[in-house]
Amino acid sequence: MGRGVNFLTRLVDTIRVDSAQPFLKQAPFAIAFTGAVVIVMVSPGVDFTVWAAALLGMWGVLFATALSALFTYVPTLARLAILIPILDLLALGAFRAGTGGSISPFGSLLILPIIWIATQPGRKYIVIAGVGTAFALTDILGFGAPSTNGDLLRSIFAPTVFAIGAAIINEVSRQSRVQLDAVRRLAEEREVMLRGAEDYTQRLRENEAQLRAADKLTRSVLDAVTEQSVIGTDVTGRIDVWNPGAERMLGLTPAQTQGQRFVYEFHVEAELDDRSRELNYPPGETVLTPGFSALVESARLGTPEVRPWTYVRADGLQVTVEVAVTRRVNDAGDTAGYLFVATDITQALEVSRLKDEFVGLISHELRTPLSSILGYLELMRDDADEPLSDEQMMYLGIAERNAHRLLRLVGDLLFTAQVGANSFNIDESDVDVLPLVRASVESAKPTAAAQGVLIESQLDDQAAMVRGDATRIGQAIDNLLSNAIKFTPRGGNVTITVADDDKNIFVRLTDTGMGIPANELDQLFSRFFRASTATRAAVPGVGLGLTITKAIIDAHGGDLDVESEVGVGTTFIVRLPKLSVVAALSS
Amino acid sequence: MTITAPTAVVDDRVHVLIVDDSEDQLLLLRTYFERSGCDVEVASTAEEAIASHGYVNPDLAVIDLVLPGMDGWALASLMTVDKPDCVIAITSVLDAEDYPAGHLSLPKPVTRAHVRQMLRESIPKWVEG
Repeated sequence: MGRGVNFLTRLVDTIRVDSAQPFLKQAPFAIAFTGAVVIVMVSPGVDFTVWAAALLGMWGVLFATALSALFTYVPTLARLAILIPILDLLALGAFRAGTGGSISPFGSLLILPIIWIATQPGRKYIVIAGVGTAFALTDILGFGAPSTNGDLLRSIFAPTVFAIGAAIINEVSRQSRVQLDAVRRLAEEREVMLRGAEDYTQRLRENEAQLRAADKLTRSVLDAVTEQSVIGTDVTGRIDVWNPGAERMLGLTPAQTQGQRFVYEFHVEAELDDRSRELNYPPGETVLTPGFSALVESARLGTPEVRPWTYVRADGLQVTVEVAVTRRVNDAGDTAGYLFVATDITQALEVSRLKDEFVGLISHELRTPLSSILGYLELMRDDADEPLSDEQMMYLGIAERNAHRLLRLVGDLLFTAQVGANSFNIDESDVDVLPLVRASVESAKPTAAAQGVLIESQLDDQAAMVRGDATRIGQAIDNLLSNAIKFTPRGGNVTITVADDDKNIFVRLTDTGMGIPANELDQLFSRFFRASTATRAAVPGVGLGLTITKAIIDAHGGDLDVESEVGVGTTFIVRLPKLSVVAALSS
Repeated sequence: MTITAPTAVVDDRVHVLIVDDSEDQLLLLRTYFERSGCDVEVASTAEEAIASHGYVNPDLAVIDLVLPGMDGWALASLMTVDKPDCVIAITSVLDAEDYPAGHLSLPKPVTRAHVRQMLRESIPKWVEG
């Protein structure tokens, strides 16, 4: 294959005039000259008049032809090729002199070397051609008869005519060369352009393949999601992505929804209205559908949002879902639409409800026997007819204390279940926090004294009014205070203060206890979580107190903060909104 | 809070009707009230209570909420109409918000102190002894 191409290239090079090989250029002259020699030997009318000159001429042409072969064979010598036609001219001059001089019929052979010389680029070759002709037509070596006036005239006139001819050829050849150059340049330019176009096409093709691969990946991921519905829309809510999960969850095929339906058509309208009202009718992209604007408001402002919603299936059934709404952006970074990824949480909600129901049931079932135990223990203690001995009274006290602890635990468990089910009630009234704190401190004092912990309370007389459930707030403070005492070693102290600012009441409880490791602080309020410092020190408890306390404070619109250092102590800060602020908000 | 008008009866004993499906609780409550000097009738269902002698003229009815058959809520509302002079106290392990409104509450676990406090505050003819 390579060799074939090589041969073809060389053949083309040979044919191109400017780079034609010397041997090829010499060939026509050599053949014509050989013909002339044959004619002289065969034709009776023409004879070698001067053998020496004729032989010299023949040797000259042979030598020139040999040179041309050499130059062809050794391309580096090709620039010397101009010597060949000059040699031809000189040899032809000698041969002409040897075949009758001015009457020789072979003067016309001159035309071949002259054309060769004249086609060389440059004006100097016109002169070379003229001078060469003059030499060839003048018998300078004096082989022939003495020159006549006619000969002299011929040796001036003929070279002039040949020089003019050479000039014309030279010019024509120059022009054609210019044209050829132009054509070649054009061809080259076109080739460059063509190559560029080919590269571009190739790049496009590669890009397209990459795009197609990326698209295929995205599509296969979307198709693989069958448990979540993935719905994509433009900025007005018109659906353009509808994955198999959506098909399964909502009972419609992509063909039935893409480009035809709007995502808010699958929501419960009342929910959208409520949310819209909550957000004070956000402007959004579409004025006509405030519900949709409410749905995407957070995502539109750049924060993805996860909220529970209700989807309405094609058959009218409702599905409780948790929907993550995110924004789709185009190349310019503008919002191009939204993505709605929804998970069916019906089952999870049901499981959670059942669990809380179960806990509630168990708690009630536990309370009944506990009530009897406590009641009969008390009867035993109060029996005036048969009083118990001191030792018996002590045993009874222990049994009572433990039964009470069990009862509290059941209460906590029940309350936690109610928090989980969002079903605990806040019995609201205007509450002064100060007496609640005082009462907590009073009731905690015996335990603290027994544990060798000092309670310091710094309370002024200014009322700290909040809106809420006095029993629950009291329970929260009790929990925090008993925790503080429980986790403080003998000899330590617990400080409780109440302060306020413009909007809030703050209750701070600081202990000098064992502290809570920093990496456990964020789990502190989760159900049944116990700090590693507490479990290591074998402090009893199940990890519900703080969960309950936080739930109570949250339900009052406040929050519970904690700062702690292991081995130094812990501070809990309860923030509750002031009554004046709550009143202002609700009016 | 319902305050009973003193009845013009010579009987100065306080009559208490206790309805609870747990025998342990019945015995416990009966003991508390008897030690406080009351006459006590007990019933373990609402139906039994209505049919009993104690239903005729009680001063105080102590009613558990969760009962087989007719429940405590129904019995309490029936007695509110049927026995307007009777003070009704609800006793239960349920949370206070589940109690029917307008009655006294005696949440379990019941203590002797709580029983006596209620008698003192709500039954004028009861004499502490």
